[in-house]
Amino acid sequence: MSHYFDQTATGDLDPELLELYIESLRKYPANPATRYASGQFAKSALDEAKARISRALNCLPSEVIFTSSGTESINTVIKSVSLQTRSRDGLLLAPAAEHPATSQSLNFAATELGRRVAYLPLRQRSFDLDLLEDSLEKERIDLFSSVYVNNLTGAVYPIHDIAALIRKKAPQARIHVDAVQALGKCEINFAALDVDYLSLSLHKVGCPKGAGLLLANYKKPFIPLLHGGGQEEGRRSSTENPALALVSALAVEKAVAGYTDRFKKVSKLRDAFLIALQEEVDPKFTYELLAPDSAVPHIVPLYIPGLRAQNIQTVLSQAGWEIGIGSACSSSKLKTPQALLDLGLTPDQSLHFLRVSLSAHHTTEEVIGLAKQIAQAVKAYAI
Amino acid sequence: MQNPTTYYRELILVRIGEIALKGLNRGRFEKQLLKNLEYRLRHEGSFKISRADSRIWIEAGDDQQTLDTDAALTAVQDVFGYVSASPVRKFLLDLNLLDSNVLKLADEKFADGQKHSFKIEVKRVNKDFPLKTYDLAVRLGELILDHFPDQAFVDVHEPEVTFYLEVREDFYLYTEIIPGRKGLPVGMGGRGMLMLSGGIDSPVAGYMMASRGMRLSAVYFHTFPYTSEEAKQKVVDLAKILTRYSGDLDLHIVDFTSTQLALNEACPEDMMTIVMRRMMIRIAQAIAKEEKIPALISGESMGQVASQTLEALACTDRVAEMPIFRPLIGMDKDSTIALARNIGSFKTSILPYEDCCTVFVAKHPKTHPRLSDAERAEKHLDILGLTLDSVQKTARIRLRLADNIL
Repeated sequence: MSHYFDQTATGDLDPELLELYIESLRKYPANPATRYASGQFAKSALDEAKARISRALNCLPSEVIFTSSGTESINTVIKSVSLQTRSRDGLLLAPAAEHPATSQSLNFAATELGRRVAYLPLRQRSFDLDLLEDSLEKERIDLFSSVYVNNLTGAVYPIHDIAALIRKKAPQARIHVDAVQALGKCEINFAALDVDYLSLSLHKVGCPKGAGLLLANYKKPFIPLLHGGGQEEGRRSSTENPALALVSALAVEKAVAGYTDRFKKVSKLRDAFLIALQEEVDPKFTYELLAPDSAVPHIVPLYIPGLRAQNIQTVLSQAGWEIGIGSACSSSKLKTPQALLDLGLTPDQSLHFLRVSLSAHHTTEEVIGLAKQIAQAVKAYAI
Repeated sequence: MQNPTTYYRELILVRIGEIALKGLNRGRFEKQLLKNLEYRLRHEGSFKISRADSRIWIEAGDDQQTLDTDAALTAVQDVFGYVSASPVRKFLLDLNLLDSNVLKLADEKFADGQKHSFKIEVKRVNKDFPLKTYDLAVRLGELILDHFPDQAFVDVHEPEVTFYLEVREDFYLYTEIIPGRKGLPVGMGGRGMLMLSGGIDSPVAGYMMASRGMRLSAVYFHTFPYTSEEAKQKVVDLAKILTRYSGDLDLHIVDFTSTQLALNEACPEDMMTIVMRRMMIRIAQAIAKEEKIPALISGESMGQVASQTLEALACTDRVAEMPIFRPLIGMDKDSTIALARNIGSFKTSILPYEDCCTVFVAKHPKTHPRLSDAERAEKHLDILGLTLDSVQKTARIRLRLADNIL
C-alpha cells in the first residue's frame, strides 16, 4: 500500500476520468476534422468540451485550445511572442524561480532569437510588486510571463495586481500566466484576470497525461508552435482528441467546483502535518518551512539540513511513502536547478529541499504518519 | 569411399596457439577449454566439438544439416583460452573440388562487385600430396585472376583477402582468422573475490583476472539510503556482464550502513577513506574465507585519485590476510577505459548513480597516511564486531552465465 504525496508532480488519476476516457475513445474514434457523419459527431464532442471549459473558466469557447501539456502551452506563448515582437526588441520579463518550461523557452528566445531576457528576483520567496513597477519604469517590455502559484514554494503571486500594473505601464506588452499549479487550488477567471494567455496542465488534476490547455485572448493572435493541418483554427495543428477533450472538460469542472472547500480541508491537513512534524522530529535536528505566508497549503516546501532530501526520499520510498525533492546529487557534475538557487538556496542546501504535496484525498492520520516517517528517517540516518 | 562431389564439411577451427604450457598442464588446459566451449555451444544450438592435435573443431550436431557458423562464433567469442577461430571448408584432396570451392569462396568475397586485392597462402603439411606449395599457390592465384579479371588483383604485402589453404589429410580452406580473447580457460586459475563497485575500474579488474582462468565471486558494499537502488542495480548489471566472461558469479551485497555510521562517529574525517577501505577488505576477506576463496581482486590503480597513493595502498594492504590482486595497478586510465568498452561495461559504469556514498568522503582526505594514522583512527572501533556484523548482513545472489549470454 503506498502513500503518495507528490501531487505537484502529477495528480492522483481520477477513476471517473479514466472511465470516461476509455468510454469516449470508443464513442468518438473519428477524426474531427472530416466532413462525414462520424467526423462531425467527433467534432461535436470537441465543441461540447470547449463550451464546458469556457463556462468553468470564464472565457469564450473560441479562446480554448487543447494542447498536449502545460509545457506545450508555455512554449507556444513564449516562442510566439518572442518571434512576433522581434523587431521591437523589448525585454522579455519573468520572475525568478519559474518552471523550466518557462526558463528554457526564454533561454531559447535569448540564444536563438537574440531576445533580451530578464528575471525579477523574488523577495522572501514571494513576488515583488515594487520591483516590477521599477522595472517597468526603466524598461520597455514585450512579454511578461509568470506562474500564478509557484510549484516549488506554493507561493501565490498577485496576478490581478501584476496585470493591472502592466496594462497601465506597459500596454504594448503581452501577459502570460502559467496557472499549472493554480487549477484546483485558486480561482481562475480568465476574463477577470485581464491577461492575454493562460497555460494549464490537466494531469495535475487527475486527468490522464497528455492533456493541456492554452487559453488565448481572441484579440491577441499568436504564431502557432505546430504547423500542419490547421486544426484549432490554425493555432495548433495536430489531429484533435475528442475523448481527451471531454475528459479535460470534466477535469476542469471538477477542479473548479469545490476548490474552496478543498482548500479549507488541505489547510487543516497542513496544520496537522506541521504540528506533527514539530512533535516527531528530534529537537536536535532543525528544519524550516520555506513557504511564504501567501502560499497554498497544498505545497509544503521543507528545508531539512540533517539528511539529504534524496536519502529521505529513498528511505520513505522503501516503506511505501512517496514525496518530492528539489534536487538529487549524481556523481557527474552537480547540476542544481536554477529555480532552487533563485529561492536563495546554495547548491548544497538545494540537496536538502523536500517538497510534500497535500490534497483533499489525504487524511489527518496519513499526514501525521508522513511526519513520523520523515522524522524517523532523519533520526536513523542523519550524519 | 565418399562421393567427392558431396563430401564437403563446414567447421570452425579453434586455435590454441603455441602456449608455453608443458606436460600435465597442457592436458588440463585443453580439457577445461573444451568444457567451457561446450557449455556455451550447448546454449546456442546443436554442435559437436572435438579435439585433435592441439586444435579444436566445432561442427554441426548430428541432427543438423548445416553448421550455423555465426551462432557458433558468437557463442564462443567470450571464452578465454584460444588465440583465434576460423570458419573452415573441408573437402577431399581432389583438385577439381579445390578449384570449385576456391571459386565459390572467391565469389562470396567479391560479391560486392568492387575491386579487391588478394593473396594465397598455402600450408602443405601432407608431404605426399603431388603439388608443391608454390605450385598450388600459383594455380589458385591464376584461377582467381582468370575468373575475376575486373575485380581481383594480387597483393602479397597487404591483401584485403587472404585465401588460406592447408593441405593435410583433406583440404582445409578459409579466409578469416577471428581473434579470440586469449588468456587461460576459466577454471584453471582458482577463485577470486572481486571488490566490485559501480565505477569503471573494478569490472575491468575482474575481467583481467578471469582472463587468467580465475572464477569470480564479487562483493559490493551498499549503504542504504545514501546509495540509491539504481546504484545497486548498476552493480548487479555489471556483475551480469562479467558472467559472460567468467561464468556463474555469486554477488555478495553487504549492508554496510551501520558500519559506515559507526566509522563516521568514531573516525577523523580526513582518514575516513582509508579506514573505510581497510574495513571493506576485512569484510571481503571474511566472506571470501567462508566461501573458501583464497584471494581478493581490486580495481585500484596508482595515482588516479587522492586516496590511491603508494602510502594509502600500503596502509590499506596491511589488514589483508590473503593476496589482493590489482591488475590495473600499472595501467593508465585510457587503457582501462578502452578495455571497459571492449568488454561492454563502460556504458553501464558511467551511469551517474552515486555508489560510494559521497556524503562520507572528506573534502581533504589524507593522501600520504602512515600506518600509525590508520591505527589511531581505528582506535575506538570494535573492528571485530563491525566485521562480523557486516558479514551477517550480507545477501547473496547468484548470477548465471546462461541468463546473460548475449
